[in-house]
Amino acid sequence: MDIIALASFGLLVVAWVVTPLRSANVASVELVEKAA
Amino acid sequence: MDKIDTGDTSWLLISTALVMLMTPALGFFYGGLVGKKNVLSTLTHSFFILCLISVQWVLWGYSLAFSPDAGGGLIGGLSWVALKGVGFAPNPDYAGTIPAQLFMAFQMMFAVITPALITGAFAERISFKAYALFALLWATLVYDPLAHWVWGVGGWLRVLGALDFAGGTVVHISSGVSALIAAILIGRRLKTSEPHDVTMTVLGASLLWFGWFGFNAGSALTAGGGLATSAFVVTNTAAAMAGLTWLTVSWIHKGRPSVIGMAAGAVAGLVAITPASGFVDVSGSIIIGLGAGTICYAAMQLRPRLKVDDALDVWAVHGIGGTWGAIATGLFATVAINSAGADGLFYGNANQVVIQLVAVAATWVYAAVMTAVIVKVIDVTVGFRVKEHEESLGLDASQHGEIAYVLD
Repeated sequence: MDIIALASFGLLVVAWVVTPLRSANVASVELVEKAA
Repeated sequence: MDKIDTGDTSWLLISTALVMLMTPALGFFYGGLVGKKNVLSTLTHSFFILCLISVQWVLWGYSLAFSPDAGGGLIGGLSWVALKGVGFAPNPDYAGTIPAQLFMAFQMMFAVITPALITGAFAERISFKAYALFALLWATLVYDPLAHWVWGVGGWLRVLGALDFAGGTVVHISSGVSALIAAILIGRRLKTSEPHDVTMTVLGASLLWFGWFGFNAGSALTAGGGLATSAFVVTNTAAAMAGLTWLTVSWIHKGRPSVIGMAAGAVAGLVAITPASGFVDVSGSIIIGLGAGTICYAAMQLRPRLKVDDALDVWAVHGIGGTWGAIATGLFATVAINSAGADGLFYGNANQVVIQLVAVAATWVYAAVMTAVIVKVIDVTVGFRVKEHEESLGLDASQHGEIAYVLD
């Protein structure tokens, strides 16, 4: 179980490294305009 | 007579106050997720129930849940109505080192928050009159019997050996399943709304997390022996892991790490660890947190497909999170943490999973059937929903004659 727990956390960290963060788009601009 | 322990009593007094805070915190968590014309009504659903069930519990709720069994392990009797006989001497059947009345007060806060959890399902469209009746009937006919089944002396699930340290079945499955049934029967909102204040939601989630230490670590009913500390640590770990997991899954799925998702994930982790918190070690809590963040996120994605307007995803977070937690207790429990518990599947006792599944199934069925009956009865008598123009106007103005924000 300890190994599974360690692997679970490691998996998350790997995901943060490999998952691209979507860049700002039209929807982002609309969100800001809505809040203004 | 058992001797009162001052350390245990202090811890339970603090824990009771911590759990009390959770219900208004829930109001803020839900309040941020609704539109700005329904924020007061959403806050009121939680605050009102704190008042309502505080009175119901001392009058008859505690007696139905915890007084000597009235038959078949299904319900307690009426011998403790108005706290008759519930004094300051400890009751060794439940907690041998604190005043019996303190155990009652601690349990009261669980009874308070459980029906409040359901309110997220029918937010922004129900009449206050119907809600008041629903809360009172649901607490009496659903919560009190379920608490007796699982925690009351002679309760049939307790006798069976079901493990539920702090309320996975009694609190979370019952409220989550009831939320789903209520949302189906009451119907969809005329128009869904966007969260009006995410800061309020994150603050609410933070206060829920804070209060949950009383919920779970307080359920050790003692400050000594390490069990409360263990429950505290696994509670925090599962919440953290689930918050990280939900954020990550939403990032992979939608391209950005969701703030609301992280808050909802932490709550899902707290839900899932609740039944297990007195029985699992820290590795078990990490796996439970991972499962909660993943499974509850997946359940939430079903909402648009099911076309059920469970407005604030009570079923996904509490119904599914509670179910996962109850089953996971049967997988990861170990007597190394709590000698009064049992080993789970990973420690060589497959039978515990079967017992947990029985408890889960019984809770699902009972909560679903009773909630359906209560909602239908209220609907045909006083009507559950507000009129269309009242819903369009918002419940704050139409039900309470007040509004949350006045902007010049």
